[in-house]
Amino acid sequence: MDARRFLAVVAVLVLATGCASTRPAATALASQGGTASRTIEAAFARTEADLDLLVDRRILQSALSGRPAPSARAQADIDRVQAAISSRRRLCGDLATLYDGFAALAAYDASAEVTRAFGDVSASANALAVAVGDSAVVSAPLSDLAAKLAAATATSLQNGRLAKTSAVIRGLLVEIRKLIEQEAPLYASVREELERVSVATSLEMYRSGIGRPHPLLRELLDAREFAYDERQANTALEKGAKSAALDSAIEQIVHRRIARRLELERSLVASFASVLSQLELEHQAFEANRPLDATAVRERLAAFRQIVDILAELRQGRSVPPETQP
Amino acid sequence: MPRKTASAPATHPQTQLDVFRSIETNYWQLDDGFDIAYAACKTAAQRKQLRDTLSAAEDAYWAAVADALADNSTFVQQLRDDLDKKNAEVKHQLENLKSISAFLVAATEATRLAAALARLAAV
Repeated sequence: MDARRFLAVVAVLVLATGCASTRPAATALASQGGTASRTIEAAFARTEADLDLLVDRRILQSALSGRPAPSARAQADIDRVQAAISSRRRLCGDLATLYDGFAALAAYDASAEVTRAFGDVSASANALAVAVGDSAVVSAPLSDLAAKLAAATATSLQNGRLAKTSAVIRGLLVEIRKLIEQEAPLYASVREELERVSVATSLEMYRSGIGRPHPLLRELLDAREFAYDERQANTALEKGAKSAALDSAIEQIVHRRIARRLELERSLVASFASVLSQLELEHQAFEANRPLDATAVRERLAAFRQIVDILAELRQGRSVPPETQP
Repeated sequence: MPRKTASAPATHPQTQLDVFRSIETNYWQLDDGFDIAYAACKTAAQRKQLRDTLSAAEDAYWAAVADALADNSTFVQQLRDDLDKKNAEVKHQLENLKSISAFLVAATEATRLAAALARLAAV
């Protein structure tokens, strides 16, 4: 084969196989998928941890209110629920690990690796050729074209593997999304029960003289005008002329905040499936070599994270204005 | 079309969700109204009956949640097994890609050296 024909063949092959690398898109997809799976995993972990406290809270609540303590049967079923939530948490963790693998597959630069190694080999082959007295064995243009062909082949192989892996992940996403959609009412119900028991126990404890509503009162007092004094507040709550009115208002505020928290919990559970569904569409676009709609996933993920952050703030006792809620 | 990796989750028709909602509503209504009802009870027997009713409602609620989640436990395990398998496959794919890259370089080197030797032989 003469040099011109060789050149033509290489050029055709490079054009045929050397389509733009899909690695950046795969990296973006892996990052979105990893974030989504880890956020859902964290939400399940929170429920799992709260279930640990549930029976203890119910025992205390029953001692203070006359309610029955959870029966042995109920406790066994709560353990079963906790085990089930734990397996769903691990499922999301496994999905996140799969996205890590996808990210590693995208991060590996096969084309650059081949080109780099090719340069090393070319240098040593030339050194050998020179040593044996034939300096024209590997001409520079030929070496360059051969390197491009090898790099394009490596890119094509890598793109094929990324597309195949994306399809596999998408198949699993569909199944996980179906499961989560179907079980969403149960997750939401368990979250509501956890919040109900938590607030009811806290209020029973408060009525029994355990716990002071200082975080709540401190937050309501405008710090620009007034300094909060815990001792003064204690006196007002115990012996003040308006202690009964204060207690009643505190209970109302706590119930109002719980209602807002429950609304957010329901939104969070509903957003699990919608984020996974958007990811499915992104995988489809990736496999069809279409541009990803990064904004759609980013927006859903941002709303998702915002709910998680607001819930974390509310759990720490800080109020969040409704207008900042997604 | 992606390969179906596990059998579908157990389907819970609307009626089953409605049954669950009834159990949930019954438990929460009894619990929410417990303090008022307990205060209104006139005898120990009435108080015991109220406590037993709430206890039964709570039992029914947790049994319903646990059973509904347990319906899908096999499906979840299958999904996890699939994910484990796919994780191993993706790792293998990466190793495979790396070895293919090495192969491409080695093959080119061999071809080139062969060409060099052929030229030398022809001299």
